[in-house]
Amino acid sequence: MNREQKFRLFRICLAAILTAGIFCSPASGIPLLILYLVPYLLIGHDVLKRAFQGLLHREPFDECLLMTIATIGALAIAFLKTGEYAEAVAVMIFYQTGELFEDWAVIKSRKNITSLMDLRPETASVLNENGGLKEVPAATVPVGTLIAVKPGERIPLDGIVIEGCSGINTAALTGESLPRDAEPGTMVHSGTVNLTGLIKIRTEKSFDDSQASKILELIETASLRKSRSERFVTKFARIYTPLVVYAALALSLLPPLVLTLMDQPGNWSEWCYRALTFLVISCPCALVISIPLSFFAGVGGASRKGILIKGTAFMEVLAKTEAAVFDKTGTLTAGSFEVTALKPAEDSHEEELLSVLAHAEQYSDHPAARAVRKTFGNRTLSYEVSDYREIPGRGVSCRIRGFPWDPGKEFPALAGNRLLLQDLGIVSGDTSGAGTAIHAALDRRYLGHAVIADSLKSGAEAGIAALRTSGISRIAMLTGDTGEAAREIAAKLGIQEFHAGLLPKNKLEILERIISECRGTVIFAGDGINDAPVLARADAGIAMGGLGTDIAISSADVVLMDDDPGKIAVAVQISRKCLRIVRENIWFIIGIKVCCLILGALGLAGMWLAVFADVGVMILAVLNAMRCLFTGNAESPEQGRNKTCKGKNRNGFGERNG
Amino acid sequence: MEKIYKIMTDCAGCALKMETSARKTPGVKRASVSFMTLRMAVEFQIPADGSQPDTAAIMKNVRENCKKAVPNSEIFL
Repeated sequence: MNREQKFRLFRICLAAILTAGIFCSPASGIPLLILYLVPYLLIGHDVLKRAFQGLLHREPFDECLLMTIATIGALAIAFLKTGEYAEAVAVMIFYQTGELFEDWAVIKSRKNITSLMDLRPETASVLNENGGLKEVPAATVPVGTLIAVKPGERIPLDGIVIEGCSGINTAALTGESLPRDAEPGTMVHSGTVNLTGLIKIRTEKSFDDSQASKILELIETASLRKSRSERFVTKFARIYTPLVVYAALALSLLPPLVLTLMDQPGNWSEWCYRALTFLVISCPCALVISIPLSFFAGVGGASRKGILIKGTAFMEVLAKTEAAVFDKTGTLTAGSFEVTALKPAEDSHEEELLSVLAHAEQYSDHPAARAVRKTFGNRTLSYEVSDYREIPGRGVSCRIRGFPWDPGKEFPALAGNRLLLQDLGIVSGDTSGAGTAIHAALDRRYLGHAVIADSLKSGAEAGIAALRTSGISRIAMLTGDTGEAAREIAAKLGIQEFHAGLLPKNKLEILERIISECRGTVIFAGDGINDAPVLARADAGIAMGGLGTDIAISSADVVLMDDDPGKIAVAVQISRKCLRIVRENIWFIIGIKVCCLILGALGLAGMWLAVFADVGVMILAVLNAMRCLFTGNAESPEQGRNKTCKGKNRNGFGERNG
Repeated sequence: MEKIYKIMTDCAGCALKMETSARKTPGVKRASVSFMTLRMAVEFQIPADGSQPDTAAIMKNVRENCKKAVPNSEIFL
């Protein structure tokens, strides 16, 4: 608690003690009213002031105004009839207690979540020319500065390691506790912890552009992309408060008027009291605070697991997921291909095959090309390559010159899949067996193929299984890879629906078809590099491995900071839990308020119950909302099973929303 | 075009009022206020002639309107 909050708590206690004292005193009549006014003004003077300001600015229906009318009205009734002043003062005391609690909860969760994510050290140790160290504020360090990070310290700025080797704990950014190795040339990110050795880093980004700053900014702006529930609450609050105020007005005037006309006692003060009770119940603060708080806590909790959700709106999308579509390479598989076999054609040999492949693929960034280069190793690329063209979904075509048998002549060369060769009328050899085949042809002569295999990511299998137990029945895989490679991976993961041999635009078409076939939402997970349009088209695009790739962060709606596809199921579960809490709160709050309004109108509920309906409900709702922050048990399979049936129910109800 | 501003206010209801006031200000297409992170996102209307909106002038009005609705609020421009 900060100083201001302590002061407010003290004020509340003082007012409560004073009220209790006066309650026991023998005073009556006007002196009693004056006595009660002391704690009333002590506790409520700022509320009165704000209500007055609200009136001046023609912004009625302010909670302060409602409280002011209700308490002054109650005091007036007490003065004229009952003499029960304590009630009015108590309402104000409880109201202020609620406000204090709300303030405390908001500040606490704000701190909790942002301090958790704000991993930026304040200072950086800058190296000067003669090797000395100087501590300077990290925000003032220009790009290209040499800084030193000792073991155990957090890295203050993104940069490249120049000297020293160490392990880096990236858990703060990725949720992954296994340390990553850093050696000269490795890119390291702010917010991660240097574990074992002293490293010197040349900074690549300024403080504001560094990874930790960007993530923090992302989380802070996430709550601006509001979910439907939040927009509902805003609209509801706008209608609800004036409605209750008019209802209160009607309640105070109509029944006694009718009764008077019917020649019965009007009992004006009783109806007036009931109307005032209405006003106390009417405050929508519980809704207005607890719903955004739930989402904010949910986003914060997810970020602790290395899942960045870029808007609370996407939590709703994730929770309603009906189909999950995956890119294969780099998402479900590690994307680090290796050449597992070289299968030269009869009139060729391994050396020639590998050499042509390595030359043709030397500029390509395709994972298969990287695998070929890795196998080719440090041997020199001795031939000249010209007319280089990359054909999406096919491979590479180029011309190679400098072969020993005819050094002056250029030969057309091809490296790619069967389709590439087929297009040019070259028949490729038999490619039975696992893995992807990358064929090569030189001067229209088939040279053979290299078998390239990819490995599944460690979390993929468990991740797909978890999605299925979460009730997401349709899981599809899209890939530009061959049917055989896709079938093998799909079989390992138990995915029935897969589409292979796709160009980026085909992926988009298939995704659109799936979206049109699904009632719920469709999420797509890709690596964010070549599937940006697909990521954008999906109801929620999930990019893998946000660490270090700005494209992924900018094009996706959800970013998984580590490469683990298993986190998708976790994200869905966190979102569902959060939405369940939001829904609980909405029904709970509106339910209690409506009940209390009815009881109040019938004269069965006094101010005391009204205060509970306002402050008590708010405190309970805020406590419930705080549960969103705890995501620890979101992964347990037992819960996953429970959610299965709920998920199905929800899909059933989904029609109503559509 | 959208810009994000830091704000200061002390109750969730006030944040909603600020959002409404900002939205009503001429030149503002869309406004969204997050009470939890004390941020306001303002999307500006592109003037009919296709020029860049004068965000500084619009935000001055937004700030004024917000102060009218919620006296002890602040937008850090």
